[in-house]
Amino acid sequence: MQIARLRIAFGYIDDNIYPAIERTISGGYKYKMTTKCWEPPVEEAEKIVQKLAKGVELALNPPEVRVGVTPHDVVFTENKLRLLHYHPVTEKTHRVPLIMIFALINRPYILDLKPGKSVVEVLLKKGIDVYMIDWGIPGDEDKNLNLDHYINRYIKKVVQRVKTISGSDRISLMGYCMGGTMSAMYTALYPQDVKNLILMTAGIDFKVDGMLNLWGDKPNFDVDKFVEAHGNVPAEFLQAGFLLMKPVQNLISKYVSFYENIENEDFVENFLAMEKWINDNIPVPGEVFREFIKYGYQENLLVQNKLRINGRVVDLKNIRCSVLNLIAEQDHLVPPASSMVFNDLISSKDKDTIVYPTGHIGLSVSSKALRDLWPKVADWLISRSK
Amino acid sequence: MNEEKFDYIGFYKKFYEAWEKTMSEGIDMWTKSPLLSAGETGDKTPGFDPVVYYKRFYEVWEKTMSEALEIWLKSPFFAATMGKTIEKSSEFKKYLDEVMEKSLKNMHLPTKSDIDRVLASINNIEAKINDLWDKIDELKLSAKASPKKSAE
Repeated sequence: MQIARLRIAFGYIDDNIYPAIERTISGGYKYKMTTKCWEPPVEEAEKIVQKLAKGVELALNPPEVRVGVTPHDVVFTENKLRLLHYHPVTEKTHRVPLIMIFALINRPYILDLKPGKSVVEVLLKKGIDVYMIDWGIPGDEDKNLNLDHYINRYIKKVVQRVKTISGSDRISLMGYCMGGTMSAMYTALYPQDVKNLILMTAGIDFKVDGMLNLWGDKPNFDVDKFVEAHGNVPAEFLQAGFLLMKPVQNLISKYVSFYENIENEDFVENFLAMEKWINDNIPVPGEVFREFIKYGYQENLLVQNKLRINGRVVDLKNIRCSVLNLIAEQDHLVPPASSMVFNDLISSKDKDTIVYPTGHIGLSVSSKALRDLWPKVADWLISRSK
Repeated sequence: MNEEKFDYIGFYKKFYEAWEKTMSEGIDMWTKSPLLSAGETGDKTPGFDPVVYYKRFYEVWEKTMSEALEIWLKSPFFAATMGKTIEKSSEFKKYLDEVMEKSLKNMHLPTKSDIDRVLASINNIEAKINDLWDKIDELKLSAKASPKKSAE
């Protein structure tokens, strides 16, 4: 119906309007309207209408997107924290279990987005025993939780529980983003617990050239006033900050690309899953945010081995286990230089760095990384977990 | 990056280049469109596809604007202005919250802080229970390891 109307409209313009305009402006102008040179793009218009209709339909009735669906049990809870233990899909290749620690910003299911787009799935297929910490959604009553509580209470408790369940006296840790920084801190404080440490885009040196590093620095951001006023850091604040880092790509290009690929079902499915994750921001407990900004972005204490958690110095030289440092080459959140320095600060002899050509999130969801990088990471881990 | 290091002239130049490239592309697109053909004879432009033209214009705009905006967002001036705005809005929010808290207290009503304190206490109790469970597990393990000793 719409297409028929368009055809009639273009036909009418072609037969009546253009000649009329031409008659009106004939003679005195250099430029002249011509009717014969341009065929009305009826087919293109037809496609555009169809695509727009589909876009409107998806916006009004978005399909249910199921994320984080790899089967698992919840084996430990405390406050909002849940420890997930994934069901094995093949025979275990070794006893040392792996604990994944995600950032306190956004939800951890980015590591298990959907079947076929899941780091967890790749690791399970390789026979690794996988656990993951889901920090949950902090309430206002959690505003006083600090780095001490997260590292010396939550992560320590989780490690103990995993050791008990698996019967292994040591575990492997894999931390992503802020979770990577916390994993490094934990390993420095409890080196006896950790057999292997994998860091994914972990911020270590905060005095590097980066947008967040500039915005979070001392003269620009008064974190004390902010936390005193807000308690927890609102999810919307973080979301707005991340969108602002690449405004054209996040607010325009992404949707143009979606429109162009709207007929590709795989693309649409992946797009909606990613959108769900990106918009699933959670608040960050105020106190841990204050410490992270102050001790990290403003004073850069971790690289100087001056950071103290509950009176104990976090000395990165205490890290002696095998280390794999995964860095995203086009990371705009944690600049590669921020993570690169880590291997030079630790005492481990067995340490590797992989700089992969992708972005901060691409490291865990890009098809290329899941196909080429993660099987290699799994092999690296298995060979060191015997 | 501090105020001295930031090249404002370079930034404005970049911004001008972005504007200039986008505008040239736009004008080019318009002049080549068959709606305006040169001369009075009415030259034909076969195979004209407005979508391709629009796409080229959009791509130029996207690339140049992203570059220019990135430089702007990385400028110390932007960071300082944004920081100041956040600071002032935080002060205002804190003031409003304090007024609300005092008003509720004067009316002898529980405030959000009171509820948060209760919830935090429940969380502490849960943590203590978890510790006790761990202790019980440890005792069970040691009892299994030395059954005679525990029987005595």
